[in-house]
Amino acid sequence: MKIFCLEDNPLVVMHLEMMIEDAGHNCVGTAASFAEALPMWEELDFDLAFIDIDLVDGVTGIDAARWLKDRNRPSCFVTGQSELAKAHSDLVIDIVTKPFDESEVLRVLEMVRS
Amino acid sequence: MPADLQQVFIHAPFRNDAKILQSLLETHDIPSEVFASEAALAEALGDVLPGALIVTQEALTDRVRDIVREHLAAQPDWSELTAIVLVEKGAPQATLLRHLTEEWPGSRPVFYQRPLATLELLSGVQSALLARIRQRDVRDHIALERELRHELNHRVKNILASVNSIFQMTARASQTLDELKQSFGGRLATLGGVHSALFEAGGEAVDLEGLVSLVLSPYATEGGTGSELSGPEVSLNKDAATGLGLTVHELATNAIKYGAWSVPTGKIRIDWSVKGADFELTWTETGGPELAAPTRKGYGTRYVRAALQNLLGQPPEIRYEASGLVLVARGPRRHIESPSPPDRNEPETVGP
Repeated sequence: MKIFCLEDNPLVVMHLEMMIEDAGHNCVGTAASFAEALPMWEELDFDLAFIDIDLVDGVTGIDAARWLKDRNRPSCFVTGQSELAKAHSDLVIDIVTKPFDESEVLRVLEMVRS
Repeated sequence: MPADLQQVFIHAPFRNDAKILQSLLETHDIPSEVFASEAALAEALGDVLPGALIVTQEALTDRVRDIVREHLAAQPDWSELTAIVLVEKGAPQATLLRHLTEEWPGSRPVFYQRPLATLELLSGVQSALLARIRQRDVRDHIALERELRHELNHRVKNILASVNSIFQMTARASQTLDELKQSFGGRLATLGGVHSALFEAGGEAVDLEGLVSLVLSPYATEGGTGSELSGPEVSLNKDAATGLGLTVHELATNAIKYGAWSVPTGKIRIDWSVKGADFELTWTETGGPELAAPTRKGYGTRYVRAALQNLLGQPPEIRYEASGLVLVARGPRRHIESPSPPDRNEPETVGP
């Protein structure tokens, strides 16, 4: 599968990338803000996007998830903003709360794969 | 529009009392509003918190007492309304005070006897409005504290996420438990050092040279003594401080293991410059063993690439030259600088 990571913490980006690759998938792109991700999303094809809510350009992860939802492209929040994530759960296929257990991320990957 | 919590509500529906009271307050620039009917008073007290309430004794019906009681029951914890009751001479004030104190918890009933001593009433109203200003400060303080607690919770979760990621990735890259302990401990200590530097600098900005010196200081005892830093004053935002701090830590660890600092003659230069809208940082190792490009990307290399890509919007240039490793990171200065650096007199074009 092709996965995109929208996350502004490089440590979490790396961690997600490693997990995605170890699970046999490809991380096809990363971005630290919705503004940075948008032109990439216009071009890239991917099966799932992991999205943090609080990014370098503000709380734009919600807008990012809505943009993908409007185009029937699945995404999953990976965030410490659990209340905001729950309030916008209709935009995503799942929510992983930081600090996350690796099994939660793998469960989401498996859910999308199947 | 009257200032927050500074409007006096008047309920004095008989004779000319309301008009006289409002006129008196107006001459002293105290905003007020008259509510002639019980229904109007109920609606107003249901919507807003007044600065104070003035009510005449004969208007103090059971319905009005209930309206005030309901308002007091619904007011926030920090609020204490001053209710000024204008009583007739000879009225049983002690009994009325006892009843109102029981009926109106969360209020401060005050009695003034008619005919009114103007100065006394004005002094009472002004005292009530001053108390409201103090209550407003308490309210704002509570709101700020709530906001800070929310922000703290968010930051703690992010720090825990970072620590979790560092641990998981360090564990993957470690062959032995000792290696895991040493690598994880070093990374955690750097993260802690950057956090302390940010805290001591006021939370949002830290000086680049000070940060690099701080991160390199533990290596002095391990052979990492040959380093030179050069560049203008740059005030880093907290994300840049964390990203660059951990990047310098990874480069220094790599230099101790394989690079310039693995031999006594090795040197490391760290230069940075700010030219117009651009920032550039160069890490240059010399005098160390000849390096070949690594066959696999370990944690350090991956982190440095990911952090600098994340911070500057482009990956760093990494060269394994005969003289040693050279890393060049470039990007917009606005990505790394603190939005409001303290008292900086930086020339437009600086650097070597």
